[in-house]
Amino acid sequence: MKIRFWGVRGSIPSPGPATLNTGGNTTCIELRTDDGELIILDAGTGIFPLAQTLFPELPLTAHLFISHTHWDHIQGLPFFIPSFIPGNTLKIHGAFDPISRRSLREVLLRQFEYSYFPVREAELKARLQYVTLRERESVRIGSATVSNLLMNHPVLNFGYKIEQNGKSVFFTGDHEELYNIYDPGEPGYDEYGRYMDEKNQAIIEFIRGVDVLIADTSYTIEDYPAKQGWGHGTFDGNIRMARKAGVKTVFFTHHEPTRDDRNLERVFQEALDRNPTQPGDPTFLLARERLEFEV
Amino acid sequence: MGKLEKQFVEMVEGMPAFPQNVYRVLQLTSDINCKPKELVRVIDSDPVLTVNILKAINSPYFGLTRSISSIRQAMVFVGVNTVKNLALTVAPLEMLPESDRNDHFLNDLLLHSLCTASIARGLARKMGVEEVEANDYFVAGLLHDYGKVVFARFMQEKFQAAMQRASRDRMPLEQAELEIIGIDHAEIGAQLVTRWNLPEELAQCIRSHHHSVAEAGRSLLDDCVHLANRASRKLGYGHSGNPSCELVVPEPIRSLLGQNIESVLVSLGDVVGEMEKNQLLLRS
Repeated sequence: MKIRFWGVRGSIPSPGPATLNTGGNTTCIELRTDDGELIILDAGTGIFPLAQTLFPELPLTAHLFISHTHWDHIQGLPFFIPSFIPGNTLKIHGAFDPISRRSLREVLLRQFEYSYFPVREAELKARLQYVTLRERESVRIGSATVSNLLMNHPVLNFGYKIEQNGKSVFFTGDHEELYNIYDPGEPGYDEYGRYMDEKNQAIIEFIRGVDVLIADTSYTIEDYPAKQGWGHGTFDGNIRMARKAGVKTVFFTHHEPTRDDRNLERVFQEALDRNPTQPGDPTFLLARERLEFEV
Repeated sequence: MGKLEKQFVEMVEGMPAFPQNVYRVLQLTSDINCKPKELVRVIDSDPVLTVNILKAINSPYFGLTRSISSIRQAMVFVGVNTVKNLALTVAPLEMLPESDRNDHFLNDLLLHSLCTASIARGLARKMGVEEVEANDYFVAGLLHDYGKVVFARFMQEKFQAAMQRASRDRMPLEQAELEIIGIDHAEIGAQLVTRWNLPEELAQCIRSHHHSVAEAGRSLLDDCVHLANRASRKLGYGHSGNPSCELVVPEPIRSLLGQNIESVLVSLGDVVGEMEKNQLLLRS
C-alpha cells in the first residue's frame, strides 16, 4: 500500500509563506491499495489538489471514508472534480449522526444546498453511493479491508484501519486521549477510570502492531490544558499510544493552524527530546502535504 | 374556598411533579464551560432522563458494539459532547406529559408546545436576550398550554365540550373554558407552574398568554410567548385546540423585527428545520 498526504492541517486551511513546507490544506489522505484501488481518508481542502492528479485515470471509483463531518474533514468534497464527470463512481462511507438523526448523505447534502454551493448534489454526473457504517463494521475493497473504531471527539468519529497483504495503516480521524472528568479522590473517579481503561485498551488492541499510525496531533502538552475537551491529541499522548500498541511508523498530523513550519519543527523536536528513544520505538514523522510513504 | 376552586386546587395537586433536573440540564448545556461531571450529576439524579438517554445511545442510531449502562460510561464511550447534545434533545420532552400514540389531541398539543417553545426562544435571541435566559423563553413556550393537559386529565368531558363550543361558535377557547369549566387553561397552567416552584415570571407569562398585547406591564417574555403561540398555529405545526387566531405583533418586537408576522418568522432563520426535528422526536 502507498499513502500520500494532501491535507495535514486541522480546523481551518492555513496557506501562506510560513506554512509552505508543511502545507496549509485541511485533512485528506490518499491511500493506494496493492491492487491500485483509490481510498481517500477525509475530504478536507486537500482533496482538491488530489483531484487534480486523477484525470489520467478517469473513469475511476473512489472509496471515500469520512472520519467525522466537522468542516475541516468535509469542506473539500464539493470540489472533488471527478464527481462532476460522468462515468466516475464515488462511494462515501461514514457514520450516521444520532443527534440530528441524519444519515451521512443528509449531513453531507447540506453542503450542496443553494445557500452554500451552486451545484446541487442531484446535478453531479458521477455515480454517488453512500454507505452508513456501524462501529467495527468492515468493508472490503478489492483484497483490502477497511474497519473502524469509535474514537474520542466532540462528535462521533471513526478511526479507520486499512489492511492488505499483511500490512496495515490506522488513521485516528480526530481524537483526544481520554481524561478523567473527576478529580482523584472524588466519588466517580475510580469508576470513570475503569471505563477509560476499557476504552483505551480497546483502542490499543485495535491498532496493535499497525505499520503506520496517522494521528491527530494538534497540541503540545503546553497547549493542552487550555484545550481539554476540544477533542484533539498531543505529541506526548500519541507517542504513548504508539509505544503501547507497538506501532512501526507514526505520522503526526492535523497540525494546529497557527503553527508555522519553524514552530512545528521546534515543538516536534521538543516532544522527541522529552520522550527519549526506547528500544523498539516507532519512527516518528511529521505529516507534510504531498509526502508519500510506501507501507 | 368555593367548591369549584377547591376542585381546581386538587387538580393542580394531582399533577405529577415537575422534573427540576431537566430544567437544570437546559441551563447547564447552554454554558460552554459546563463541567462534564456536573452534567453527569444532574442527569444521574433523574432516572427518567437517564433511561431515555441510555435508550437512545443503545439504539441502532448509534450502532455501538457494546451496550452502555450508565451516564459515566456513555461519557467515555460516545464522548462528553455527544451526551450533552443528547441530553439537550431528550430533556424538553420530559417536561411534557407522557404521550399516548393514539391520543391525537395530546400529540398535536405537544407538537404545538415544542414549536411555540422553539419560536419563543428564537424571538428571545433575536431580541438580544442572553442564551441562558433564552432557555426560560423555551420553557415558557413549552408549558404555556399545560393547563389543557390538566383539563384533559381531570375534566375530559367538559374540556371536550369547551373545545366543541369554541369551534362551533368560532370563539376563543379560553372564553369557552371559562363558561363551561369556570376557569381557563392559562390560569390553571399558571397555578401548576407556581406549584412547581418555577419562577413567578413564568407563571405570569402563562397566565397572560391570551391577554391583549396592549395590556400595560407586559414583559418581553409575555410578548414573545404570546406571539410564538400564534405564530406556531399559523405555521400549522401541531394543533392547540383553539380555533381563534388573531395575529398582532407586540410593540417591542414590532419595532425591532417589523409588524409583518411572515417577515418576523423569516428573520428567525431555520424555524421549519427545528420543527421537523421536533416532529421526529415526537414520533420516536
